[in-house]
Amino acid sequence: MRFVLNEDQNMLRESAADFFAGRLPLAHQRKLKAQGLTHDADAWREMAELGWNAIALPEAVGGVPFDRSGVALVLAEAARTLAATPLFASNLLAAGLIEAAGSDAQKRDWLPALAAGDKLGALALDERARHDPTRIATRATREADGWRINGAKCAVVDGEFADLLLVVARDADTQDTLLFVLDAHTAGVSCQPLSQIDAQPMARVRLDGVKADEAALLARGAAADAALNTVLERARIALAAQLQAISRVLFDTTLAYLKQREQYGRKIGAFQALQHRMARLFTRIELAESCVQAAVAALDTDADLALPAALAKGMAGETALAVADEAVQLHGGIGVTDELDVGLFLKRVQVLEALLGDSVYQRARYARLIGVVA
Amino acid sequence: MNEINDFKASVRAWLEANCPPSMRTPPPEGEMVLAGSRLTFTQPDQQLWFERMRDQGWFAPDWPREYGGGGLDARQTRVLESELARLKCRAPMVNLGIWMIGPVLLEFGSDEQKARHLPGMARGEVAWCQGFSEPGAGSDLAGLSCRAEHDGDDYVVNGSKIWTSYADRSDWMYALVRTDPTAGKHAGISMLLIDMASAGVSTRPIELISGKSHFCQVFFDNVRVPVANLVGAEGEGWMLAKALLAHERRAMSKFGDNNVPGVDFLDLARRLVAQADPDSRAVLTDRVAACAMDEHAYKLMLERTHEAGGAGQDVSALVATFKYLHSEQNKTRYRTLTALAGTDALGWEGEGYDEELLKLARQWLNAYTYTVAGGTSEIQLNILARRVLGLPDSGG
Repeated sequence: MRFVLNEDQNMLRESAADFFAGRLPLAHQRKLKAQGLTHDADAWREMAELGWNAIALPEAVGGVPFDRSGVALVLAEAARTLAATPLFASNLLAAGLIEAAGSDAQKRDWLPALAAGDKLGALALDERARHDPTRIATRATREADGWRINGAKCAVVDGEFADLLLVVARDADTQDTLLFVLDAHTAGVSCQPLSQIDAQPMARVRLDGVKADEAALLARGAAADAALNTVLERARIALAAQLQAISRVLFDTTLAYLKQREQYGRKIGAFQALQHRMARLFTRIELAESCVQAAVAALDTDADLALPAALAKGMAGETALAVADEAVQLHGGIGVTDELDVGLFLKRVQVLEALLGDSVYQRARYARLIGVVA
Repeated sequence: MNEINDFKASVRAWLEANCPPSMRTPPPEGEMVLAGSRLTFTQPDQQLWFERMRDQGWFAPDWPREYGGGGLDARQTRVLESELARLKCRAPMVNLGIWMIGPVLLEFGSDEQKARHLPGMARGEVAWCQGFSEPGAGSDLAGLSCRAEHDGDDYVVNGSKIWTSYADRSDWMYALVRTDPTAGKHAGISMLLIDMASAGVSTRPIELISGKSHFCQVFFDNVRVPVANLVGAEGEGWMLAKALLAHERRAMSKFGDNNVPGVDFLDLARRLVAQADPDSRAVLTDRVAACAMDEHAYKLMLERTHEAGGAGQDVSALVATFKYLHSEQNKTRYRTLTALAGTDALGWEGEGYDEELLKLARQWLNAYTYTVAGGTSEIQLNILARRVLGLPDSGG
């Protein structure tokens, strides 16, 4: 079944929904923001205790034997209250890469702490404003006792408090892709926390002559590329699930407003011009939903994730942008105030859209995957 | 359980043995068999398939045997349908009788009407057409004005029907007529069965922007229709039409896409994008990808609807998007291919043009029909807004 959740998935989703509604409701995010905080560290601890950081990791290193789709389901529920979680960076990206590319010894060294939530991980990949995992200028030079890494990374989700940094570099000699796992406190690693529109954690990371020993190299060449691609596809699907969750919230909120707000002596939802805009959005949302559900289901199979991920993130991103635009516009004056939550969702949509390839990027990728361009 | 499995095995075996391989592909344009008194076949396999299905009673598998049906129960009918789909068997004919008016007569018709009309439908011997739309009543169907005046044992019908598929090849029409101009808009409407051979009936084929079509306009000039041909009671026409349109949706879902041959979008798009000038190529690629993603998403939505519906979830909101999305996506796809093909897409007929691109031009123009016919896209959006989203009915 690709489109009907099983009992375990439903239970996880419900408990996640309860957790975010009770522990991290949207009002709480406003409080954090007012205090200059990007997340609630205590709540992150509680999520780890619920086992969420350990989903789909090997049991031998403290993982929870739940299908990987579980991460996407929890993240989608988090998106509904705009709650920040460690799952995206620490579980899907960092632990995912170590699991996919690391040796048994490396997995034993790093994964237990990530699974338990005792440590947090982040991925330092992109170097350009628009996502492009193929253009990596960070160089690792071989030295007598290991590697010396230099480079600058942007858009590192959770970078500012990550204990482990997964760094994508190129071998200065061979140009091979190299995947390193580094202690974030290594000399030469510097992190610049950013104040982003959605008030969630984001950082730039510099690597200035950072020393790494051989044990820090997870994989190189084709093995590194393959592991990175797999993990990025999973992460794109999780981003799509979050975008889709926000589309739902914004659509429902806007629909309720149209049924309540009166102008010219009647509910504005009675105006056909607005009805048709909502009906069109509804068709887009259901199309995107179908793509997201298929992609989330694919997370639990051995299927190649490239096409479902490109389709899901492309459709969900484009749809969420359209829904967010309409949500602001149809709310009128109140829609452009900070008081209304709609604007907070708009900002979050734009962040999720930009991460790991926006909908234009996904569409171009989709075109290549189906052979429209060679 | 065993019984239904046995039935399934026997249906499968029968179809394997009796459906000619050439009838397991979508029919090329113009190769659909039309039920009716002027039955013609373009090839022997068509006739074989038609006669074998007819003799099984499987044109109308779930109708009672006394009316020429197959006498199958609902479960058996579903098995037969899924086996037909599995083997990709063509519908052996187009038959609005069985798909549309037949089920209405079964439920609401008089015994005499059933005995007279159903067996002919079930054997594919009578062609039926639908007289609903009028020149003055399109989206607002209930505003129809075709008049039926009671006169002795007859109604006298005057007026016109339009967008009637295959009217010029039909033996009978089920029509909505206004029997009481003083009653309310909906209450004055009745349903009549009209013999197309009656004096005063004339038909005129309608030529579309895409060329010849199966659509006709039908004129009624003092046509006498026996009162016995009234379905249900006077004033029940609107209720009957609604019941009938529910069958239309079911019929479309049964025989829908499977039977529409088209150009292969991706195949053609790949070829044409490669030929485009380098500057345009990126933009064209983007448009093609957008179409392909929409189509991919739509297919996933169909699969999702099927799966979720099977699991007992309410999928009516999803179903309500199908007609709008399918017809609109279709139009965009053809529009995109037409742009890609440049002046090669401008051929109307004859020498000097690639055959596939000639077909493309017609299908592009034909795509405009489908965002209008069967409830315009705007009507579909109204339905979504009001019935699915629960927004107030503003009367538009």
